[in-house]
Amino acid sequence: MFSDCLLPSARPAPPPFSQDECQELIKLLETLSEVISLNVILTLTPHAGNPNLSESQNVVHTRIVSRILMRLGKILSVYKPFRF
Amino acid sequence: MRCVFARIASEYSFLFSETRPLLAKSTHLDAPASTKGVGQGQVTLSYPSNPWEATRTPLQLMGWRHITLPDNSIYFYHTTLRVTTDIDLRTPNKLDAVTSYLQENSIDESFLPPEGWESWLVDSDVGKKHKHSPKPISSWVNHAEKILTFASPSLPQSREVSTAKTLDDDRTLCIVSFSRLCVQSDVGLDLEYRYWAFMESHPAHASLPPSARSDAMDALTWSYTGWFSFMPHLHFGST
Repeated sequence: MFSDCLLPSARPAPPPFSQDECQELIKLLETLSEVISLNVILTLTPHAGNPNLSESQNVVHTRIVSRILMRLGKILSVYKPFRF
Repeated sequence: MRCVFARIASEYSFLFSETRPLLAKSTHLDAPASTKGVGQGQVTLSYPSNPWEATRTPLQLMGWRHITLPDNSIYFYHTTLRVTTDIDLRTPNKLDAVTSYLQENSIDESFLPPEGWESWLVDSDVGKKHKHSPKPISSWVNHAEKILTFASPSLPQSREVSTAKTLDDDRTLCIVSFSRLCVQSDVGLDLEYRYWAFMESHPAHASLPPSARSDAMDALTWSYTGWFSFMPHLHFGST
């Protein structure tokens, strides 16, 4: 909302993710990163690795990271973060 | 016995050699199809001089890459022009509309995305019934800066304001200036939020900015510990 930036809340920002969400998303991101880096190594080897599979994993990875950062942006538009 | 092995080895050498094709090259494929059956009342066929061209769609020949995402949503990306669009270019009238829009605007230097930028075309008439062809409008995306803006990056700010003046719409200009003043500190946040929304819906043609994954992991880690408000280096939208 436009008024959110005019009158930001003075309260501290609540966590944008629940603890269950955090656990699952951290695990998912770590697994995806491992798989993607493994696929990168495999694609360097001739006749090994699947470029289509690697591409779809990258798409999923990009989507998850983007959604996390969108949620972060939504929270920060309402609540101002604490500055040291 | 050695002779038998030698014969088998020569007959099945394609199994052991990666340099030899599994299917022998057919000589009659090299002749144009149009030459077959000519003069015998048969339908003549013709294919492009380069056989590989036949497997490419007209969209690909025009430089468009058709991207289908895991949820079956689609979008198109032109590698040379650095243009992304959600308009379904498989429909001929939409392809014509986008092509003529790009041709008309490519004359204007401010339209072409500068180095590091790409443009995103959307249909401004989306959702309207009984429309004949789309009306594309452009936004600009910068992956390094993580921003999506509706103002052309080639246009300096002063030129943008002068454009508004020539429209003789002072009220619009006042509103634009006021909102700029009010949201100056939140402009970066807004631009970056729009960028992530774009990346979420167009995740296949460009890779993530280098710091994106670590930013996401930081946000998750600080949320998990319950100290999100005190998360240091929270630089979302600061670019």
